[in-house]
Amino acid sequence: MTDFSVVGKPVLKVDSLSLACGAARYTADFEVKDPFYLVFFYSPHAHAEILSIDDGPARGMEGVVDVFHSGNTPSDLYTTAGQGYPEPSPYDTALFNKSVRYVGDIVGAVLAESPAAAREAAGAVRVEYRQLEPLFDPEKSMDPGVPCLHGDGAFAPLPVPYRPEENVAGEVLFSFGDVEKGFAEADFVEEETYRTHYTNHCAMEPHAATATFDEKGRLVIYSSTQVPFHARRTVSRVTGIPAHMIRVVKPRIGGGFGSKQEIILEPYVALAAWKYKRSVKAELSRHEVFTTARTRHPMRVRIKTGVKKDGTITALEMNDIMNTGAYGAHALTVLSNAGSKVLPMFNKIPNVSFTGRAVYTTLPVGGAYRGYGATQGYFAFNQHVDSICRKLGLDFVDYVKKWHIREGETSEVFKAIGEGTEGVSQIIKSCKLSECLDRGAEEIGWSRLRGKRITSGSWVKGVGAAVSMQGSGIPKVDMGSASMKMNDDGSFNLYVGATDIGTGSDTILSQIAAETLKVPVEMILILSSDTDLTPFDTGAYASSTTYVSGQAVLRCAGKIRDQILSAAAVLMGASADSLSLGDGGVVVNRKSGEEAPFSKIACFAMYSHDQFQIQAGASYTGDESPAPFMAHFAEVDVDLETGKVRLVKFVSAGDCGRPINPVLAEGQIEGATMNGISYALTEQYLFDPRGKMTNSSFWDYKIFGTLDMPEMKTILAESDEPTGPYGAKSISEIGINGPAPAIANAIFDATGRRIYDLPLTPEKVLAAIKGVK
Amino acid sequence: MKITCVINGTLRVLDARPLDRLLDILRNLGLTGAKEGCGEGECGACAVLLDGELVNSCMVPAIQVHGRTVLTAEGLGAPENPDILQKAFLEEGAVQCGFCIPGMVMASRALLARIPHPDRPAIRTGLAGNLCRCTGYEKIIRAVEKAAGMGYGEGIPPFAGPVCDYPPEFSDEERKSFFQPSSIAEAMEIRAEYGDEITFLAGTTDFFPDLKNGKVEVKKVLDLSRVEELRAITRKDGKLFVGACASDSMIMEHPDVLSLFPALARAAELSGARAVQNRATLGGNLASASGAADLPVPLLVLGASVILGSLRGERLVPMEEFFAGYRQTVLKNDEMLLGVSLSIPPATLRQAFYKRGSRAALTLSRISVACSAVLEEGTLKDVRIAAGSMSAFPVRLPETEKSLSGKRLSAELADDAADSASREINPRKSGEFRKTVTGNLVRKFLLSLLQN
Repeated sequence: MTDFSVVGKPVLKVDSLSLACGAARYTADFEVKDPFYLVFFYSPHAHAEILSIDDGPARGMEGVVDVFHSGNTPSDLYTTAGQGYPEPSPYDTALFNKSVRYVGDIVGAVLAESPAAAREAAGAVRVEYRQLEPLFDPEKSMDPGVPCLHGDGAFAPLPVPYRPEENVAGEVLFSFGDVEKGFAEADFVEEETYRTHYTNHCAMEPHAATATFDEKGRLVIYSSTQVPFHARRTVSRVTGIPAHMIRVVKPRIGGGFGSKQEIILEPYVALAAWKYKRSVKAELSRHEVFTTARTRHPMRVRIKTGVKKDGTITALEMNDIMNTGAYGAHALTVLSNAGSKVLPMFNKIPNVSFTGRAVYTTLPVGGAYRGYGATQGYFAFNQHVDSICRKLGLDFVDYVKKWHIREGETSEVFKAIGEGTEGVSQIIKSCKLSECLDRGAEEIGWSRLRGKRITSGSWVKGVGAAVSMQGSGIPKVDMGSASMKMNDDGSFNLYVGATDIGTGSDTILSQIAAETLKVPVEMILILSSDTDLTPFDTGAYASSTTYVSGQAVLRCAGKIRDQILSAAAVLMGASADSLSLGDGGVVVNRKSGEEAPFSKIACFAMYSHDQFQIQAGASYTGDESPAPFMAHFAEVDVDLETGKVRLVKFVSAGDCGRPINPVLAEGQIEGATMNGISYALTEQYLFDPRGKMTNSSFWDYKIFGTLDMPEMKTILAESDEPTGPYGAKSISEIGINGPAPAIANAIFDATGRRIYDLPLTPEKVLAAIKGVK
Repeated sequence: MKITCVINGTLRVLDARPLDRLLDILRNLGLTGAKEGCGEGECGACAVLLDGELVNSCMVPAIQVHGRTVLTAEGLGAPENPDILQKAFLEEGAVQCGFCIPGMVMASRALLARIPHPDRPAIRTGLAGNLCRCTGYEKIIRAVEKAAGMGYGEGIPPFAGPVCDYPPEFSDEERKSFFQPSSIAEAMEIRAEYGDEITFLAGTTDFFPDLKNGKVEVKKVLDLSRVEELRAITRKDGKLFVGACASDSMIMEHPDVLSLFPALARAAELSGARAVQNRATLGGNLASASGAADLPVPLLVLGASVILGSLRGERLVPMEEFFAGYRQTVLKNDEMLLGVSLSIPPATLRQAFYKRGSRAALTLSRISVACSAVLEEGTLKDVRIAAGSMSAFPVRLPETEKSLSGKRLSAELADDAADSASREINPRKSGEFRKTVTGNLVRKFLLSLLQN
């Protein structure tokens, strides 16, 4: 293996010290002078037409500056999804819609001198509604006679399937081979229906945005965003403020997980600030994050396979209905991923068909959420594979090892499904999934526990596994860029558009630059995500930063290296060919052994000879999207008396290529895994019959804490991805895909009962157990 | 009002409104390490130390900060001179987005101050009120282990005592509606004068969420935090008295409660995570008359009486008669809750409290059951069973109790009791599930008697 000095090492996260000391600043921590505060008011109805808005009483209240709503603030339709341009999501929402489509839909906003005044006035606005028939069941959204939710000019900016008249926000259809023929050849056909649920990202920092002005009168927006460049573009489009008058700055971000790939607050604070030329702050409460911001799209996944007695799958048919809620943010692409990230796993199935529809309902809006459709698809896929194995008496681990995609192989699915466009075909160049399965099985005690149903009192033990793959950015869509300059002390400023939202990308991008230039990571001074200062990057999503932005940094640093060597050649009187970088910021003459420190070379270039700034820029778009792979294993004890599932141990074994920073890579896996566990067992939106969420607080919406966590074990099965920067692939999302199916399969192992609907609550487990008692 | 306090070692005299949250006070001083993640005491992102004890600063009113010492993450160290604990967090890779970390660091410090060398379960318990969505907690726990290993806990000085002994300075306007007495007698006079207009403040763990959600209208505020008598837990004349302002952590750690009323100690222990336990009081738990409250459930089976006091005198109300309906008690509008009185039980009394929620810490009960009984030569006596979270307030299960008293304990009897308990309760929601689980918990108690 190549010997690295910075890459592959547990370099300390570059911002962690200031974070641990409480010194680092997040959006809401920035002080601006005499700000106004923006507070929203929302629809209490799942579906209604706004007949009139009486803002008179609110305007008369002390401290109130303005009240914005559909009656006085029209806007073009747009999508809140922060995606590449044009977006694959439909333009189906205005800043203030005249029809409201879910409880929590934004009706208007009050601008006031204090948050309290704004809140009080928001409660004083009188809105007259005409209630319309709601639509709560996504499986009925396409039925004739149900209300059409977007009959008012909504359109798709890309030529993608979009049929608002049928409540279809996105459609993905593809097939290869002949599934009917495949089913006919099978010894048996297995068909099951799975359902996943609404959940929330629960980033610890609620969404926040502050708009203020610089001394030249340009608008500066501090925002808790994963997509500063998309945010600038969308704000400009919706508000009419010229893009060159807007600067978006991303400070520290308190977690995103997809929730902040959505442009929610920025246009409103921009609009209000621009109008009054005053700073404007907006912050969502936890309740608002739950009820108004974005969620994970619920999905119904019907999966049908034709299977031969030896386990060969002759045909696979997947039929998904995805609930995108009131608006179509990320609808098409999340739906696509339920197929494109799942179906390549078993790439030897000759006959495959995928039918997916994203449909509107009058419920909260889906959006990007770690895993992005793959999570939903893999819940069904892994349990289905377990069902097949149980039927045939085969071991899940052995079975998956036999059939999963391998190095040197491809899948027709890669080409078939892209993200709003056709996909990109690719050959898998690194895959250590079998190693992940072996090491994970060993760690969990698979052969010792599987099928043994060890009991202790009313508790029965079971183990289950799940596998998944994801991608590394969207090929030929996601673009990252970096620029760099050398300082006279031999340090380097690194400017990246890539958005560190807590993931540690500032650190690993610094490591890539440091490795390339053979300097300690402290000599790389990184600045990320400021639309004025840093070059463009699509943002922190689609598991793209390490792979796509990392390649941009690698290339940029390579150019810098070349410039250093050519300047050094003049300085040292040697040919550039005979020079190379030595450790610690020096250029070495390989023949004479003579060394020149970077500081001397920088000063030479800056001050002495043929003067120039050593600087470079580079961009990168992936031609492919190499998949990370992961195997998850759960050991559970199920209480046959209460249905309680006690997660005893959880193992995650992942292949992310060469981890640039193993500790941060483990952290990504552990965080995603814990989120996935909590998703599986306790988290859920509860609605009343009128479509109002009834558990919009951490009291009632339970995310896992320290007392709930199982024994956790994380394994990195290192591979070398030839197309990745220093062999790296992505790692941020994949860990969330496996916990739900692994735990469900473990529950089956313990009880012989399969739970088809998330979450896996004691009520459901008990009901399933009682069915056999 | 003017409050005097020490924040991160600096004596400060601050202007505040009495109900301003400590979190806002800190953030307005530029101490933005404490974050608002939920504003309801559920996430711990705003956790700081108040007189050395962990609290959620979103649930501490300014009126209770006077005279006290506040320590935040900024007070431990800055990037140029971090302390051992902060360094351990970054060295173990425990910091991702960092939003929860200042609170995590403070919870860790509070834990290590109490238990310098905690085992893993103790660390998990100590951090149970601090949510993190990034790390999966594993590396955070390792960071605490690392700091503990370096002797961090031993180096924490004990709480030095109050900052000042004089009361806070109210404005003339505030003096009309905010009262902070230092004795029960004084408090009762204020209560008598203003009656229903009074909102009591103690641990404020219910008060702030209620205020935010518009469930409470504040007219006159009677803050009990300076009434030392109300915090007492004392044993006298065959009785144990627990004061209304005794916190959950005081109750769960008090030797007499632990030895005589382990079911009550357990309920206090399961009532919330540390920052909530340090604030939530017995009186608040009773007076809120919430169906999901934990402490009334064991108090029902332990034969507790609630002591109500007024200028007219004291009266004792049996626990069974204290609740009058949904969110209602028999407390009259000139009375205040002084505490509960428990008769010291015979050494042979066996008792247990069980709780099942959707998550292990800080969860409002979905199902709670308390049981007590004496087993004499195989025969059950004095059986008492109570269930919480089923109806408007916790209730006893007299029929199941009757069916057990005087019977020989056996596995079959335990099964019958489980069925009986399932039949006897009438849950508002998740009926079948709660019935089954309640029955199972009753069975669990009886079988535990059988085993010993």
